[in-house]
Amino acid sequence: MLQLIVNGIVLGSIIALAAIGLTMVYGVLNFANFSHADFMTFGAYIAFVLNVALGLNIILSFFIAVAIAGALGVLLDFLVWKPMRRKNADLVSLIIISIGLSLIVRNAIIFIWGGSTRNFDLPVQRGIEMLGVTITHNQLIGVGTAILFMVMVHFFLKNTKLGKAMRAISDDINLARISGIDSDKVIMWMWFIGIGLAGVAGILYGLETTIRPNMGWFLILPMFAAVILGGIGNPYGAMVGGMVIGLSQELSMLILPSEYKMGVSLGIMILVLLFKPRGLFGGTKT
Amino acid sequence: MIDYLVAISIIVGIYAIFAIGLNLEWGFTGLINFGHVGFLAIGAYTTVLMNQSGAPIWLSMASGVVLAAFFGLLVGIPTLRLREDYLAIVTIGFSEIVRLFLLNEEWLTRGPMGLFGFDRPFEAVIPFDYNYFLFILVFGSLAVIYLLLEKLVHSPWGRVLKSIREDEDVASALGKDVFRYKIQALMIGSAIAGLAGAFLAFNMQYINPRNFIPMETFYAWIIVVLGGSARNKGTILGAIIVQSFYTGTRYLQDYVPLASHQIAALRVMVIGLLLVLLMMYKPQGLLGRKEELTLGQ
Amino acid sequence: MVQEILKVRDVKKYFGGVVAVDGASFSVEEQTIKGLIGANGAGKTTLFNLITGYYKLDSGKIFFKGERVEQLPTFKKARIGMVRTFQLTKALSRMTVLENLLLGPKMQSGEHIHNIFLRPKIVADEEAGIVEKAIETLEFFDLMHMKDDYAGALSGGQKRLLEMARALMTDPKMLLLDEPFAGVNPTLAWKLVGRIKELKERGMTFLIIEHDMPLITDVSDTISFMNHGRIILEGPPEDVRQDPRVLDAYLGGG
Repeated sequence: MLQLIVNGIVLGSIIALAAIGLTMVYGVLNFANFSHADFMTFGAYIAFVLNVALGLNIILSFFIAVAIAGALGVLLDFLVWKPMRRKNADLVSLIIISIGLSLIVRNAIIFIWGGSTRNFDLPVQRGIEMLGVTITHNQLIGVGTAILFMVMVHFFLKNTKLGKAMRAISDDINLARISGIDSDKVIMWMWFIGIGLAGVAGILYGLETTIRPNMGWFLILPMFAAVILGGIGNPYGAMVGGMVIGLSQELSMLILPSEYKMGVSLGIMILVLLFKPRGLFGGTKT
Repeated sequence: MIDYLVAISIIVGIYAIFAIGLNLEWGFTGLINFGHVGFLAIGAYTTVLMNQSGAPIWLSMASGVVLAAFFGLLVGIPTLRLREDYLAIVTIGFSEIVRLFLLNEEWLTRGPMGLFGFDRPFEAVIPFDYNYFLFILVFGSLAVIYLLLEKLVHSPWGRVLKSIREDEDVASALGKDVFRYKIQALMIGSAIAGLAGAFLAFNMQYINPRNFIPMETFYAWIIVVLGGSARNKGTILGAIIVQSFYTGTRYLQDYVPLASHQIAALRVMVIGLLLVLLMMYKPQGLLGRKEELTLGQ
Repeated sequence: MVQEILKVRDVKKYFGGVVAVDGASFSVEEQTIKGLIGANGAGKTTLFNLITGYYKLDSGKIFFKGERVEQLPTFKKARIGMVRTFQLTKALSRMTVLENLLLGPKMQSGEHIHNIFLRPKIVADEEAGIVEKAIETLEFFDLMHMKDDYAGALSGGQKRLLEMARALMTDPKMLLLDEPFAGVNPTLAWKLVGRIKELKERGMTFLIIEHDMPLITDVSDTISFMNHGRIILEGPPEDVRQDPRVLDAYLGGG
């Protein structure tokens, strides 16, 4: 069972990282972005190309891939999301567009790299054995990096002007605009950071498991569950929500067949929506 | 050649039925159901399993439809009072759980091996190519469903659905029990999907969980959006176009140096792009009325 | 014997830590028009939402026609005769003006699927009656010429009329109007005032939120003044309007 807890922490930190970007978009732009998970996959594949095809070392590949992912987020804001904001598009149109984008990204990856699984070019290392539990190097790196980024996000939100502006917009976009905040610019940075974080999460997930086209989409339900559990628009809630979901899914193997892990996320989500729709920590939306 | 067209048309008809159910839920009532394929699966598997346990095929088919409607009720009760986007998320979860169940409960469904060896209506007595009968069955059903839905949609009941789509608050303020209507729309849409599932089983004579992935739901969505949501005629047109596109691209392989998985991927990319472009620039689809949608809020 | 059709007692509503409505109490007598005024943020629309069931009360009681109703969902309140309009007009844009009105009447048999197929004649007859009533109402509000246009194409003022027309189709006992004159040109507004008074003569009760002083003073029998979530003052329009507290709230600013 201890092993399950370890695995749960690893999975949870990945979900938590990805959920931060998802909850920010949800809170600020007020829609559920179904393509978010596929940017995790995107990040992993870009890092893979840099690392394996171009031979760059993993750390460099990591940072370049994350930057590219962030850039893609900004590009899409410019091409798709901003024009839709101008049109005052309704919630449903945005959701359907995000589904379209998710299909495009995921299948572009299949088109280019095919459906088989890939791996980063890293030496195989033995894990650490402790208390009857195996922790692989990749898992340690994964959790460590995730925590590092979460701390960076916290610092950013609390202490930088941009971070505070993001929180203001998340609470009330009109009020924020009146106070002089350039919402378009802040939103652009939000996409950069949100999608970039998705890229980070994807790379870590690829490290922990393997790289395959459905890897992100596979986590879409747990990600949404984390966001809803933590309160929509609440990045800290998303972090905690992610950990809870990750742990619950792994620990559920004690009583459920492992194939139904996803059902755990769904179940938690439904319970939250029925009994505490604002999430455990209260989001910015009802 | 005719045989080939008949075969393709049957698929068009099945997808048209599948999508018309979604159109009632989304086009007329405004419900974002991303789990529509789950009801397709329930219809298909119930029909096959019941028949394989000895029930006559018509009873099995009816059970498939009823069970699909019943699951529509089950899914609806906790979710239809929620915001529309929550419904989207939960319904995807629902259809995936259904698929996982079909994949893993091998004692019941034979898991990934799928099911084959079941009756089809009147199979023993049809003297000619069965496909011709299936064609009549599918399109006959489509016609009946179309007529029934058109009647419903143009009735006071349909009017309430539309008002819910436009603004639930107004519907409540006028005394309508919004939840009840949403449940009815979801149940009917799911029943229709269940019927499509039975027909799917008859057509392929073999079903397995891979037939019921979320992509099928999104095929229904592109059909509905392309044709013009809330236009049942448009849905049928959409089914024809999407299926032609699907079949047409199958032959690309002979002319283009791409592997089959790449063509499949390209196909889905086009559909994704179409969804994005339609919602951005022509949300009323092909047969929708432009004035209806430029009236914003 | 004059009845109090609506009684609101000590209603409170909190949002997070903020008190929106802080123990509001008042009554509305049957077949009267009561105006509800107050500065922005005083809690008027919130109070409306509480009365009609869009928000849940944190505490307090609401009586309609003598029965306690605060627990009832909005649609049930509409069914017993309490109908509201909205501050931001909610015209059902993708439906025609006529369709908007046809939606109004309660308990239409055609709204039940089984009736559509099993009792088509009854549904058709009822529908014909509803169309007749709708046409009358459209004429009453001078909207007849737009009946087949999409509601979304109407001007702001026409949408306000549409909302009221639609609400009337439900055959309400009491209409709660949230800023019905906002954005409506003066001629139309005064015409509306005339219509409201006419409807009062026919037996309807009104509770109206409004900022335009001349209008609200003219149309109301009594006015309640709300500030900081409480009803501070009630009385005949002329008295209330000249009360220093009211002048202060409107002219003092803040």
